[in-house]
This record gives sequence, structure tokens and C-alpha cells, in this order.
Amino acid sequence: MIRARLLQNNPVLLHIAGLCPLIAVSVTLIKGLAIGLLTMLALILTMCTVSAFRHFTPLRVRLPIILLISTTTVTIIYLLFQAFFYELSVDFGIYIPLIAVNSLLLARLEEFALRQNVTTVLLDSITCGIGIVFIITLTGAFRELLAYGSLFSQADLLFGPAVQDRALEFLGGGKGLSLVAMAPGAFISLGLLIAALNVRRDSGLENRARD
Amino acid sequence: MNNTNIINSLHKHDGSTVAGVMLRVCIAMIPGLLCYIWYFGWGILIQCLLAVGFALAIECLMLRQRRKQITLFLKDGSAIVTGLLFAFTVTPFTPWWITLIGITFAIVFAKHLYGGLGYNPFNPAMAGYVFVLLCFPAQMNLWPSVSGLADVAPGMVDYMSMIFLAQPSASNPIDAISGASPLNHMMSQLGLMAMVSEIQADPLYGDFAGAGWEWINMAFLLGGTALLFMRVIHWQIPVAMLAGIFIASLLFNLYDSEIYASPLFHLFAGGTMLGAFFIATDPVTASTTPRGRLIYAALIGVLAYTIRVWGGYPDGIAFAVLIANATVPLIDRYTRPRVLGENQ
Repeated sequence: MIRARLLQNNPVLLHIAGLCPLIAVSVTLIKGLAIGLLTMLALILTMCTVSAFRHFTPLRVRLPIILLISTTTVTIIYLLFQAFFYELSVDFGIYIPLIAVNSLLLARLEEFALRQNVTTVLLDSITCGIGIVFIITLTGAFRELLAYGSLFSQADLLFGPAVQDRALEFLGGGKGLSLVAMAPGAFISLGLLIAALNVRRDSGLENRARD
Repeated sequence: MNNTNIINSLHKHDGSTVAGVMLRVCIAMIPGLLCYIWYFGWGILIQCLLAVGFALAIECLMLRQRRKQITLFLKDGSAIVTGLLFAFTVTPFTPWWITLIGITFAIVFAKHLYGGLGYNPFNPAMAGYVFVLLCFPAQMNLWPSVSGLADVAPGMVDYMSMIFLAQPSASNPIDAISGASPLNHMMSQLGLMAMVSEIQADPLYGDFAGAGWEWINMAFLLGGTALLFMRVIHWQIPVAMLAGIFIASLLFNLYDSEIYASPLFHLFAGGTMLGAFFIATDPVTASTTPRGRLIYAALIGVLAYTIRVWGGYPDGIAFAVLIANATVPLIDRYTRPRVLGENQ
């Protein structure tokens, strides 16, 4: 099931939704991982809350209620993140608060969380979140490699001073295709990623057809 | 036996082929190439050979990967034109690996990933150029000094060393053989609050627009006019693009001629003529209706002027062409000729 969420049924790849953090923030592997984990956390908490309160939610005012819950959760996450990872939170700026109105999050809240019980929603949002983390981290790694010639740079911002300056550097580092770190680079990287996964899927289908 | 005679309607193929068009485009670039060599030395020729070689090699690889007929598609010559246009837009000092990256982006990403010749929404050469311009701004803004102006004009050895080793040759330091292009110089001097009349007193500005560049532009104008008469390109595109640049620069020049350079400068500086006759006219990425071509090309002209004057880069032709390329489907949709009897 997790494997399916990662590749075939990945929410980001399938709907090309929730791209805002992907494009703006996933410049390096560590930043991609961080924003991915934040989105996952926000997704799990809001989905479960909305699901828990689904019997008390009048259908007519469901959108304001959903928005209220998601903004509250994201505010809590944002403040906690600022408390423990201040530098990263400055770096991410507006993109953490923006998780509250992430299209992917809102769509899943309205279509799924309002209709299912808490256990189903919890399981679904965990796998969905893993899918998001996977794809954003992968894009971040790809962009970091091409734009800066390194991997795992600034890992200390997320994992503490123990991993400071442990970044892998290739080709001397710092001399890369800087366009990949800009917004168009995110779209190109995501396009390549989708293409690669499609090729994989198609060759899988061909193999199955041959058997 | 059916005796009905089938009479074809009067549609006769005029014998023009893609390869024929591309060949004429290449021939029309020759005056510009000769002029470029005359003023800036052999660098452009090395750059052309490199870019065309890379373009053909990568085109070949992509065709093989896509299981297309290699000889048939290679012979259409579009890769050669892409390589040549790329070589004319980058500085002749560009190191070989930057040329390789730019051409790879042009052929693989801008052309074949969209389906190959005829399906690409963006001009491949310009996409490749903008890619390397954004990635390597320092190397891309190093222009050779004009022969006759500087103490040392870059020679074959200097170019070879810059292109293949990415360092100046032992005899001439980099500052001796390179200088600002007129557009770069104008931009940096205006940034220092200098006045246009002061700036243009510099010998860099030649007789009317820029030493060397004015005559290269003239040569491209000549070659482009030949293309017009050979009916390879449509008149609407160069005319509307040049008019766009002319009118925009005239208005601002009349408003304050000490801040905004004259229309003459903008028409004959940088890549204006190359853009108007050879780049914007790409039949695949340009608008296809007569009125659409006017709008598309005027948009390029105005955008190019805007980017030159207020943008972060000295020349704006490449960006303007790419932006206008993106608007082409919309322009085509609204300028489609009305079918007889169709409602407004």
C-alpha cells in the first residue's frame, strides 16, 4: 500500500496538486524533507480533527469549519517550528502558513475526511503524507545535485549540530546549473520525475503483458 | 469501369521543402557571419562549428532514442539552424561545455520532449540560450573587444584558449581582449547616472549605434531582406517587431533623450536584426495568421525594449521571443480568419 502511494498513486504526481511548497522551497534535499514533513504533519492532524468532528459539522458551513481547523493546526505547527528550527522557519517564510490553504490538503479534507471514520482517515493521511515527503525530498535532492553539486547541505538546521558540514559535494560544489534552483527548474525537475516514473510504470505493464 | 474524370483543384506544390527553407536561412546568415568575423575575429566561426556539431550529434541521439528515421530528420537541417542561431546569440568566448549544455537543453528539452520539429512551442535556440544565460551569467556577459578599438583584438589563439580551456591565453590577459558590449556599457553607465550623450561619446558606440555591432546588424538586415524576397519569411514579423522597438524607443527618447537612448541605437544594437529576421520568424513558434504575426512580433519588439531598458539583462530579445512564443496559441485563436457565414 505504501509502495502504491509512493509511485502509482502518489497524490502530488497524480493530481499535480499542492505544488506551492514543491516549487518554492524544495531547493535542497534537507529543505525538501523539512517542508514535506511539515505538510505531512499538518495533513495528519487536520484530517483526523475534521474526521473526528464530522458529525457536528453542518454540511452548509463545512468550508469555513475546515478552513478554521486547518489554519489553527498550521498556526500551532508554525509556532512550534519557529521555536525549534528558527533558521529554517525564516528561510521558508510564508510557505509554512500557506500549507493551511494547500489545495491538496483542502481537497482531501472535503472529499475524504468529512466522510470517513478517524482510523481510516489516519491511515490514509499517513500514507498520503509519506507520498508527499517522498516526492518533495526527491525533487529537492535532484535540484540540489544539479544546482549546487551537493547533497545533505545544511543538514544541521534540521538534525542539530552533530551533522554539521557533513554535506556530500560533487564536482567541487557551488558551480552548477543555477536555473534548476529557480522556479522554472522545479517544474522541469517535476516533469522529469513524472516522466521517469511513467517509463517505469509502462515497462512494468509491458512485462506483465508479456507474462 | 468508372469513367469519371477526377480533376484536382488547383493546388500545386511549389517544391519548397523544410531542408530548402533551412538552407536559404543558412545562406542568408553568411553576410552577418562574415561581418562578425571581420569585427570580432574567428571566435564566432569556432562557436558556429561547435554548436552545429553538438546540435547534429544530439539530434541524432534523440532521433535514435525516439526510434525515428535518423537520416530523414537530420537532413531537414533544423538542428543546423538551431546551432547557428545559438552560436550567434552567445558570446564568442563561451566555453565549449556551456555551448554543449545550451544546445542539449535546446534540442532535448525545448524540441524533442515536446515532440520534435513542428511541435515545439518555444524557439529551441532561444530556450537553450536563456538556460545558459540564467545558469552562467558571468561567462555569458564577457564580450570580445572590437578590432580597431582596443589595444589587442582577440586572435585565434585567444579564442581557442577561452573556448577549450576556459582561461585567457598566456600572451593576452582577459581584460585586454574583452570589453563591454554597447548594450552592457549603456546599462551600467545609465545605472551610474551618466547621460546618454556622455555615454555615446565613447568610441565603443561607433558611427551610430555601436562599433562593429551596427554593421553586423546591417548585414543581418541585408540577409533578412533577401529572405523576404525569397519568400522564406513573412514581412509582418520583422516589420512589426522593428516597428515595436522603434515606436517604444522613440516615445521614451522624445520624453527624455538623456535617459533613454535613441531608436537608432536600439534598432542596431545587440541582436535586434538577428531577432527580427531570423529568430522571431521561426515558422513553428511564430503566430500563423497574418494579423496574429503583426501582434506577435510587435509584442516581441515592445517586450525586448522593455527588458533592455528596465530589466536585469542588457539584451532582451531572447526573453521577449520566449514570452511571445507562449502567447502564440492565444493570438492564433483570436486572429483566426472567420469562416464564411460564421457568426462574429
